[in-house]
Amino acid sequence: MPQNQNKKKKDPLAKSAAFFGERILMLLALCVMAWYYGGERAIRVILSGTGTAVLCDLAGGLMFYNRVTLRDLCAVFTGLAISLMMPAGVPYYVPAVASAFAIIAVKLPFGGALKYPAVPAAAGFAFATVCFPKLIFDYNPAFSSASGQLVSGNSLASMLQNSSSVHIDLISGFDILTGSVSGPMGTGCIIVLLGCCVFLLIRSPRAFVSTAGFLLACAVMALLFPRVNTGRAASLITELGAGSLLFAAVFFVNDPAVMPKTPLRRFAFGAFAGVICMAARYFGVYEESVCFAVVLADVSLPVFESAAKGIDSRLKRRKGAA
Amino acid sequence: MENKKPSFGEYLMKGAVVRNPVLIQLAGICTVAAVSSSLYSGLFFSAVFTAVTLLNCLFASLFLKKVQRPVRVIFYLFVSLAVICPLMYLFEVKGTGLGETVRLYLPLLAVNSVTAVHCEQFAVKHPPLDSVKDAISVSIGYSAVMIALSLVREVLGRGELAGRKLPGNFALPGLLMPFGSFVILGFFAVGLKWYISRYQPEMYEETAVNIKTARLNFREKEESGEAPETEASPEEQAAFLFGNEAEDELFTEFWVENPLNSENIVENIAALTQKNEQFGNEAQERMNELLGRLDRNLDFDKKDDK
Repeated sequence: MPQNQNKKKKDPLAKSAAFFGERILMLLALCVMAWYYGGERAIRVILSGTGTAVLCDLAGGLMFYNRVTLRDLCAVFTGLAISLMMPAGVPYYVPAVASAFAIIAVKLPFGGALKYPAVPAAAGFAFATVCFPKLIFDYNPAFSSASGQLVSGNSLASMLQNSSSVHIDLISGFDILTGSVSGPMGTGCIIVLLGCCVFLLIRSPRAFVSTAGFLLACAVMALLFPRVNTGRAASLITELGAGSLLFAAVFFVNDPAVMPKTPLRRFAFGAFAGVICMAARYFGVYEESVCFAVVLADVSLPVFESAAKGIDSRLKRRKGAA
Repeated sequence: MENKKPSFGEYLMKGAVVRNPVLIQLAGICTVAAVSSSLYSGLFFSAVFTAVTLLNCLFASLFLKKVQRPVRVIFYLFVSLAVICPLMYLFEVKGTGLGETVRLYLPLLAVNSVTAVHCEQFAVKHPPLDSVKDAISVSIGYSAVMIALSLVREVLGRGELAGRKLPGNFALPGLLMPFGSFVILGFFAVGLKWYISRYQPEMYEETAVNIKTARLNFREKEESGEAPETEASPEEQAAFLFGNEAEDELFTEFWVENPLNSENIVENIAALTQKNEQFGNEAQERMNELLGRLDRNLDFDKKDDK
């Protein structure tokens, strides 16, 4: 029996299935919110992205590794995550292209689930942003608030990019919390994402360390360098609530394939990703740059690790000398 | 035993496929990524590359066999500039409509690593006809990749073919960016390796990059707790810089130029003795040179002991 248990632990497919299974559960809650706000069209967009990811994974698995399996669940997660970061009114081919790129160019060539150099969903969304920027950030009026003030193009992220005088009184704080503002169909509902954070904290506190570092760095940057002229508190709330920042913190930053091993390094890596994310928001050309920041942080992980090792060894030497 | 000369087909298989300069040796890859945004620019760049490589290899084979290596490199630069300067002048005077990228990267062909490596590895050691065959095969390999990449990027990235709009109006502009070309090149390389493993399995080993083995050793040592070597050995450096042929041909030159201590020199002499038959007088001359250095080093060692 113990031998069997050891074998089970070593099975990489089971490991990734467990990891992505939990995340898909969390994403399903966001899918419900997307359906609530976007209706049937949101579901069709989700099906388009997820279906393409699954098909590409099956075809690629057959071509590259001569096996057909979806057991790792990475493709399902990737398709869902990409679709949820898009507006409900996006043409169906956009999530399909993004998912196909994520699976074919980022997941499969590097050995499959949890072996990639960057989170495939983030890379796929970044690719779609580069290819179809107008479609990706064209938010449907169906997502306007109850007062009907917010229309297409007036998402929180775009207002922040234009340095508009965003005030919490102007946009209902409750609307921001429930995701009833213009924005991506599945990443705007802060309450559900906070619930996901709690779930993550309970299920895998080690992974949450990275998320905490990311959010803390973003919060500090938002307080220190506000993009709105209505106070630092408004800056903090709108920066954290806008776009897909919280979504990326919960689902992308703590991916074990692209995360250091020790808790301290994880926290530092999360903070590093957060700083890149906020810098990309300040200086980037797109209103939402969190996926670019995640990809950039992921691919710079080896450099980050070697720098951390260098600092560790220096500290040890100093201690030894003392 | 009579040495049979390889046919042009064999040259072609080796230079264009098994040791493809872009996909296998990964030489000049940034220029390829930058320029291949349209079919016309790809065709133009391939033609210039072919002219530069052909002239350089022929020149090296005819006149540079007895010239020292650092001087030879300067000659390659001059020969390349003789082709590129008139083209640049035409660009300035008439314009070609090929875009800024081509004009920007064209002068870089003068210092192209693919040309220099092939001149050094092959042309200076072989007769002119063989050098021309090698240059043509390498140029075909380079041009094939360049044209295929340009075609894919223009069709998928811009939705055009040779400047004409394709039906459907579908385009992925991300592929026109440099990262797009690297992604496509990666898939080309996978396809080529698959082809070689399937249809030329006896040549598959030649496509391996030795630096990978060195890195694996590094990792294994790191994991086992041993102190890893911080610097790559001369063979690894040579393999990294010049591809696999470095081990066979450039390796000796590279190593002989960097003897640091007596032990290294003794090892070099042993290696050269083994290669004596292959290199003939050249190896004998180098052995004499090394023996001279060994004497000098031994003198230094004695002084250090004192």
